[in-house]
Amino acid sequence: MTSPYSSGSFPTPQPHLQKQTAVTMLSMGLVGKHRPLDDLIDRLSRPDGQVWLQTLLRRQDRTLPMSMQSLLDGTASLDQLKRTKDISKSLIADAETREMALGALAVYCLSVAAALVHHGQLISSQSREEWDTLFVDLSAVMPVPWRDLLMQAALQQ
Amino acid sequence: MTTKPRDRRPVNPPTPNDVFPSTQYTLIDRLLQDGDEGRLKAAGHVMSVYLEPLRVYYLGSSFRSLGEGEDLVQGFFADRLSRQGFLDEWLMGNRQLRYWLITAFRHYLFEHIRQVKRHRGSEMPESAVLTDDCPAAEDEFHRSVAVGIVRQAMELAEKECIEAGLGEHWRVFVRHHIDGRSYEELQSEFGLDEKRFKVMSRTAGNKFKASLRDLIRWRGASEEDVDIEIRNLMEIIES
Repeated sequence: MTSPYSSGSFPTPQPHLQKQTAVTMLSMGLVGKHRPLDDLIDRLSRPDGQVWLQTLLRRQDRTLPMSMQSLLDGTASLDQLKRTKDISKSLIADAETREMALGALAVYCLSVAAALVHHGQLISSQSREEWDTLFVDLSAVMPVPWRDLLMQAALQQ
Repeated sequence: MTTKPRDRRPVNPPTPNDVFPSTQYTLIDRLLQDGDEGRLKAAGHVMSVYLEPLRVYYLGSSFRSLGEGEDLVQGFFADRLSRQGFLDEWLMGNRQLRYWLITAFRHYLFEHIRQVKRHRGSEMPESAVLTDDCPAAEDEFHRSVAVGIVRQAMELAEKECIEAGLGEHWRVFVRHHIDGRSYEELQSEFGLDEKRFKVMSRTAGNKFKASLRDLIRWRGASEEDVDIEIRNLMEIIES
């Protein structure tokens, strides 16, 4: 193996990056204002995040007015989605544990996404622009098919 | 200008494990546990980021009469990075790698001077009366590190985007944030509507953000610590 200490392995000088551009790029790395969604993203990013989500969604199937599958296939009515969103909102506030609150937040976001994708309706008082950002950020840590639902929602006109 | 057909490819981001790559700290930690081969890879990683900043420091310091900058930086890496405990010691501490390296580099240069003196005796030139008090050179070092970190974060994010089939997302992001093209210009260039454009740009931007923070993070650093370090780097570049 070639030693990395030999001169031949030193990297080639990189093209110049303007100072102001570097500063702008660095500023993009700042966390900024913390959103509740960031806690959910952090939870989903953990090694057991996907398993946690699947367990949570199976449990939700027993407590919500319709199955989680109906959020994906479009068989949930707009009214059902609104009720799911409201139940989730209450659960976020009243949850006994932080994990339960995060689970409710996940369902809350997915029901808003499903309403946009399947019914073309924004069922939240938050602005559409804010939701689009949330959908994109959350989709980065969600497994398929939930990721697809969120991206479709972000792209919905 | 010819307008490209509207892109209908999926804009799905990759799996979570791809989104949150290992931090520089965990990357080096993992490599060091992988025997000599891992140690060489860790050394290669450190050199790829810090060669230029250390060379810049050297050239601006009072040490510069000691010889060719690149030779000395190369000698420093060869000496320190091949030592069993050098990077392990950094891992054990709660300090950014840039401070660890610049301190070690200065120690190395003083060792080098002593060595030269031993060989030459009183023939050591007058210009070799040195001090490690070179604030301007050290500022240049940190500035070069800051720019290098941005560049490396961009390379990592681009690689991730391409591997995930999101190469165009990255191009859109770069054209807007690096090349300064407006939304309107890019909508025409890429044939994208505004909504799709924003989604693609944010997706790529999130990858860049994650890469940047991972490169900056050190042992025990909180998210707030990383923010503070980012602000420090911004100030360093602007100073």
